[in-house]
Amino acid sequence: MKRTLSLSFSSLLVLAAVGCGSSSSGAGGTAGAGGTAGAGGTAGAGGAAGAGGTAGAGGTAGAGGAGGTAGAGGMGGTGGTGLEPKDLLSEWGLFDDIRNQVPAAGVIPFDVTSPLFTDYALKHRFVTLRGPGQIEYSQNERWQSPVGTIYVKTFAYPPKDLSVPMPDTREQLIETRLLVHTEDGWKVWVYVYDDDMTDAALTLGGLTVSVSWTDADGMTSSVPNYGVPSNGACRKCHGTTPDTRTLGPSTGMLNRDNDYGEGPVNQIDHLASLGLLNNAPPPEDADNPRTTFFDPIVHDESCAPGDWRCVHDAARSWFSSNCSHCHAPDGEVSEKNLFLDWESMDPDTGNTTNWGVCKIPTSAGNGTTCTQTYDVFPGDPDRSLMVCRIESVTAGEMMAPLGRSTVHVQGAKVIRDWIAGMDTSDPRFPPCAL
Amino acid sequence: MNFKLLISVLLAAFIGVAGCGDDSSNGGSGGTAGSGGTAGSGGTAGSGGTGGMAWVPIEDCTAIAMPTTYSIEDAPPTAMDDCTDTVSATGTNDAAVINSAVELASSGDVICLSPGTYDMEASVTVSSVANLTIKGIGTSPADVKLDYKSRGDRGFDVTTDGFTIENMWIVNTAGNGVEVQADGSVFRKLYVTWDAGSVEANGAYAAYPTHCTNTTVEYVEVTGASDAGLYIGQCEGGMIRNNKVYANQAGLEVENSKDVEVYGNDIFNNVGGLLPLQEPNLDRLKNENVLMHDNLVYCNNHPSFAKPGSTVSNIPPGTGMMAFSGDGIELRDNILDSNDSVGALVVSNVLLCQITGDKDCSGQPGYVPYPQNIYIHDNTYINNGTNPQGTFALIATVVDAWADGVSTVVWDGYKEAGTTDPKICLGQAERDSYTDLTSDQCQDITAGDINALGDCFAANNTQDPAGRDCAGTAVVLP
Repeated sequence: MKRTLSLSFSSLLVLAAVGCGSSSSGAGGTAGAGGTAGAGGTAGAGGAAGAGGTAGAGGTAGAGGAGGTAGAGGMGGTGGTGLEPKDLLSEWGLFDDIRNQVPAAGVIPFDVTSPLFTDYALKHRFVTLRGPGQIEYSQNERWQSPVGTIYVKTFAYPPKDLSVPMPDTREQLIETRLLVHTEDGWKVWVYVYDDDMTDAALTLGGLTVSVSWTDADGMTSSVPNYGVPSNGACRKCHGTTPDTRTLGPSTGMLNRDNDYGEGPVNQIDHLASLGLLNNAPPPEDADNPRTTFFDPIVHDESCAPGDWRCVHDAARSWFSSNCSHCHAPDGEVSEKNLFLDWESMDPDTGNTTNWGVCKIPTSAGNGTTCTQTYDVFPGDPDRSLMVCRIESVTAGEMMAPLGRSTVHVQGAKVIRDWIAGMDTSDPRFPPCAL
Repeated sequence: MNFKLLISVLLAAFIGVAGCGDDSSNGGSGGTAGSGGTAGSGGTAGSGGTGGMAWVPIEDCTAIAMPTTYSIEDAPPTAMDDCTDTVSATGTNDAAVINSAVELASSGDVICLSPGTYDMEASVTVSSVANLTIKGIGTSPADVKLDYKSRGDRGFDVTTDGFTIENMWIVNTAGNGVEVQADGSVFRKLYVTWDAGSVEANGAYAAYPTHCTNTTVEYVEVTGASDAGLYIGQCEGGMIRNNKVYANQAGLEVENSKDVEVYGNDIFNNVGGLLPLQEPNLDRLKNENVLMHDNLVYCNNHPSFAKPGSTVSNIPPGTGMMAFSGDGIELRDNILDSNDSVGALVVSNVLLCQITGDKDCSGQPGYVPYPQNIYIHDNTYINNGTNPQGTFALIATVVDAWADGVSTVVWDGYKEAGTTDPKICLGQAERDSYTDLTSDQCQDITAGDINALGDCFAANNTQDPAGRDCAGTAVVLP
């Protein structure tokens, strides 16, 4: 029997009239603080609800109420409605304006300290909770988010051509990836934008697209083979069913400022004020420091000459975002004993062999270009296999092995600076002997 | 089974006696006198695994034509009436199409690929559905061609249980051809190749079940892998049978696994043919309870093309079988013919480290770098060791007894401290042409001191098989 997408999902799609800012809802979904949200257009009115689903419509309450989000009574049922896959991004109700990436109420934008490199794509990140429960705050562990959480990540590039008269100054939208916490665990869904970028279609098998952009001076840049991942590819980093998980949300990544319309505020404090965090921390001060990652490029450039500790912090951040999903004690390739996660790279307690110092790799990939013997050769980046693989784009040899088709030149420089600055008179960073 | 093709090839290539270093072979069709008069046909037929067909000794390895397409003749037919989804090639970005089908599949589904050439721009990842089958529905694997053109990494990347892949041609992967880490997988009737031939840039492994259990690899034909053609590693429970493996660096490799049976395979023109290995620094410590029987292992004299410095680059070209450390390895009823360096090599990680100069050779706690309980018997040896290559050529200069050819079976002689009998047990034919390289006198030589090592070999090698007539322990598989 031949399968088609609509055939598979038609029985699952909740045919609620999904309006902005709310998930599919039960009849009469009422309100968060500030008013009868039902009247405010919770789609629930008249919508065909899934079993037991009451309005996730915390979002609409926001419109009327001060900072209102999912207040009491507004929580959507976890009876499974609202979280099933949909053919179009618009059906999720996550945006008031998809083309300009304006989120719907209740969909909270955030940014990270140390972004994952994806072929220089610009990224817009959001989170929304469509179920009861809160995100579990933790100082050092990845944040655990409850069933009903949706993380949204749009990948975009600069406007197509700014050198023409009256250019379209809107970004080029490529894809939006969702991580949705359902009753059956986290699910990945990837949506690829159509030509006018006003909506995006569910794409399960991945896609290779060619992207280019021309700046006002007429200089054109391009990424010829940008890879939209298949669901399987998503799981290479995010974990295989049923252990799929988020990677980014953590204190280290979110402890920075963002502007929610009233000037910069700390994101963690903001999420806490919205009631999204359990065990929300006190405001940060000297007595309550929070783990914070750095923007590796900016930080590396700011380091005073000779301040290797500063450069180490930059490298540590870059490794954390780009490598630690696999290269960590609890990661996919933990048996390789190459640990590049934040904890393992503590400058005082970390085991430098686990960082790759004078470590002969158990498997060195399959290219013919990278012939270095050691992962990290202190003082000599060109003799470090790690640098070679970071700077490779050859399948089977490049690291990370997926998620990019170009070299993160600036990131590679951070790692080069890190290796070059290692003090070879320190017994932890010996010149590797053979 | 494999004999039919082989004999027709050999008869077609028949030439006069090639004057090999070992004096006994000559070809008359059907004449099988191996060295020492082991009736080749009798030996193999007796085991029943080779259908009683007579082995015709190789006259000239270079006259053996390499197949140009899938050539295993007795592979079973592939059912074509149980497809739950059928996909066709468009010729552009077909990996996306297959990946979509995989994502939509349910447990037990069968995704069928219609004949054609599939443009594979990325890996096929199976990570969300168990008991999936992906198979070609052409009459030959060569009818369903998946051409990766060095894109993506692995051709197939599978982590769910019960996966079956069957009846297709996988070509030009950047990384491994089919990699599976799961329980209960079946690799059947695949053809895995690289257009460039046997070159370093090719993917490392054609078939790569690893960290697996209960794995079957059968009727798979692989050529050109820069590490090993067929591999099973860190697995428990495996059956590797009726495959055809040629022009790879290592032909067929079983590494740090347990309860694996390897039989009926046709292994030729690799750098090294049949290799049970116990490597250090892997998750599983041991290679144990591995039985390799009734395989054809011949002409494995291919020049090395692995990445220099890699583990497999240390395999001396011309190696028929090599037991590298391990505990409980049985090699019996195989035919070894015209492997230029040695028929069967039994070697420890200690010697390897001495040769490569690696001073830190102990591996992780619990790793045993020595071979123990190695039982090699009832194999047929014809014209092995007649033209030693690589390391063997060097060693041959200091072992006088090898003036007329390397012994059929070579052991490095190293024993673990405190062990008097490592139970390296050999059959009669094995003991008749045997060398212990060191009498265990050379372990103290500094790693990398090749001259001292050579002197030690010269002074201490012996052909006396005393102790090798121990009663070996047959491998019993669950």
